[in-house]
Amino acid sequence: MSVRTGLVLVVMNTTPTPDNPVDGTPIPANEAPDHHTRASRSVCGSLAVLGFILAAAITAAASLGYIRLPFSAVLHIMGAHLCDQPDWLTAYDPIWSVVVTEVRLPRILCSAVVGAGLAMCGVVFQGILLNPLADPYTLGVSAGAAFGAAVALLLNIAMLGFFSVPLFAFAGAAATLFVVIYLSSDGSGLSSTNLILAGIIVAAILSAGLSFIKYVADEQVSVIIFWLMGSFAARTWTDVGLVTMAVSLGAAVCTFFARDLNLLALGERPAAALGVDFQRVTLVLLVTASLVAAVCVAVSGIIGFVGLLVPHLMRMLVGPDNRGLLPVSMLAGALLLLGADTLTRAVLPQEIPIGVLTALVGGPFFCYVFRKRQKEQAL
Amino acid sequence: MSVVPVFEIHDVTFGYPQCPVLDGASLTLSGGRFYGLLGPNGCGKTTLLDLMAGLKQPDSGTIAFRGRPLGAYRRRELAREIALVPQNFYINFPFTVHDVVMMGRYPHLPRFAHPGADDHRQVQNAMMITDTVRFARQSVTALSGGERQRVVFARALAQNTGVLMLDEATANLDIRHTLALLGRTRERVRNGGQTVIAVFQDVNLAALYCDELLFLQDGRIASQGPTDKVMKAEILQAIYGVEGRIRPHTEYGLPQVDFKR
Repeated sequence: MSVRTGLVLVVMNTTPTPDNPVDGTPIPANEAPDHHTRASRSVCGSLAVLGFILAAAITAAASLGYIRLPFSAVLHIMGAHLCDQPDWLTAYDPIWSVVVTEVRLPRILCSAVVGAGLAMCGVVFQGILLNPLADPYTLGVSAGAAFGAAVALLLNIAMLGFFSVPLFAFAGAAATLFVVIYLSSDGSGLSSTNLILAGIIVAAILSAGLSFIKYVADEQVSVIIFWLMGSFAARTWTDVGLVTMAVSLGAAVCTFFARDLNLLALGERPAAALGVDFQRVTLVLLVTASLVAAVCVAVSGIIGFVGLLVPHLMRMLVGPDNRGLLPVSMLAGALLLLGADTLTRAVLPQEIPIGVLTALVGGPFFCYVFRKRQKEQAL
Repeated sequence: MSVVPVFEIHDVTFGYPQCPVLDGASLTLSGGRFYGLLGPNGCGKTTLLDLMAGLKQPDSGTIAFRGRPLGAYRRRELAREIALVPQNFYINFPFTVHDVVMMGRYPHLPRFAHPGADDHRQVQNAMMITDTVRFARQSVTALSGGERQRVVFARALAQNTGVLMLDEATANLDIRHTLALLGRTRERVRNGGQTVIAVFQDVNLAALYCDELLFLQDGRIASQGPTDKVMKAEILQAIYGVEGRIRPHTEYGLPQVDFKR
């Protein structure tokens, strides 16, 4: 398959039909099409381009902010720390080094890794739920996290110090996931309709609970609302380490099952007939993706649209094969969230919550893409 | 051809206690033959195929595939032995036709391997047989029902298995493609020793291609045998409750039935 410009846009360069294909005269081996090589070339190309842009974006983002640093200085400072050459730093104000490595980079890397994680979860959820409109929060992970965080904030729980709120958010998300899976598993196993329904029901209950908490929260209500809207402000290397670990583990599991995820798109019976242990693969991927999403939410609050938008757009670019779609989406998600965070941190006159920004920009853009696709399909 | 039967099914039951789908079905199928599975709607034809393909587990009874219990096979192992063309097929993502047919090679390929020249040849061959080459790079979501069914047929052919199960695989096809595909399938049985188990609604079509017919009724095998032995007016009357007269096919002499209105 080649690079596409539309979800179902047909590539024009079709193979000529042989005169009597039904008779199926044997074909010489050298006529075998090179679809595969072309597809992987398109994936590799996208990966290389996205990887380069991401590296450039990280450097650029580190130079932007309240103190504007020269690009070259940022490169030098990052190089000095990466290669362990402290004498490279002598040319610069010591505060610059602190700004780059202790203030900006943790936040930048955090946003990039969370973006990658959310995009990865989006690919997996869309694949499992057979629904291109699913996102990492379809199973109520965000509602569970929001509820958990709100409880921690309301009760002022600080027994676990700085990590209380993220831990409660994670616990809420994980608990929600298991309730949803329990509710949706009948005798024959997990069906995507059941999962989506159970997710909606549980999320509705939790959001009512959240409203109640906000109602009784008095002066805490603004803290809760602020947390819910998501932010990468004041993230530390600990956050980066945590979320990187979760996302890499998740990525390893998802990559391992990426080909099976392709087959899941055919439905249970055909997938099983092609050798996939449907129930096991579904469960493993569902739990992995949800836990990664839960860690992302715990670290950054609720950031919508990345998990929905990125897999969707990347599918138009590299096709639906999850083996290519997963890595490409992860890079694109990292780039998108890093861009959004840099925009709100360093470009806009006033920092606005990143969850609001992604929804405000991502929503209309998605409408545009969706509409365009409908028109193409109608043709 | 080996002497071990391909399938030995003994006293298999499946379903709910109040309404069993299969209720003590037993049969033995030998290799290199074209079997037609017939019976009224809801008599358990699809369920029997699912059980034989290992997609469902029987509540009781045993199924042996090539002399080994079906449960002793791993899923991927079975996928290299048995291919299934389902009745309905729906896909939500814009995989190209070529991609979908290539999925038939997955069971033969290690998880992270790229398809080789042989895989590409088999895929191309399967697409030629099913007349789907001209859609190779189109998205399956853009095809009509009949075209999509041919793509799924191609995928099963690319899977290149010893056993091919057709669950009304030609139900949505026009007559030209139906005859062409069943003809090619029959050739593979004759020359390649493939075993085919096909569910049919059309009794005459089944009689034209199948070596043996199996009639399923109320969850049991009501009648089984070579086509000319079981294609009888009394049997059709007993199974479907319809009247008809058997006559030889004008070209091949095979039994065909003229139904009374």
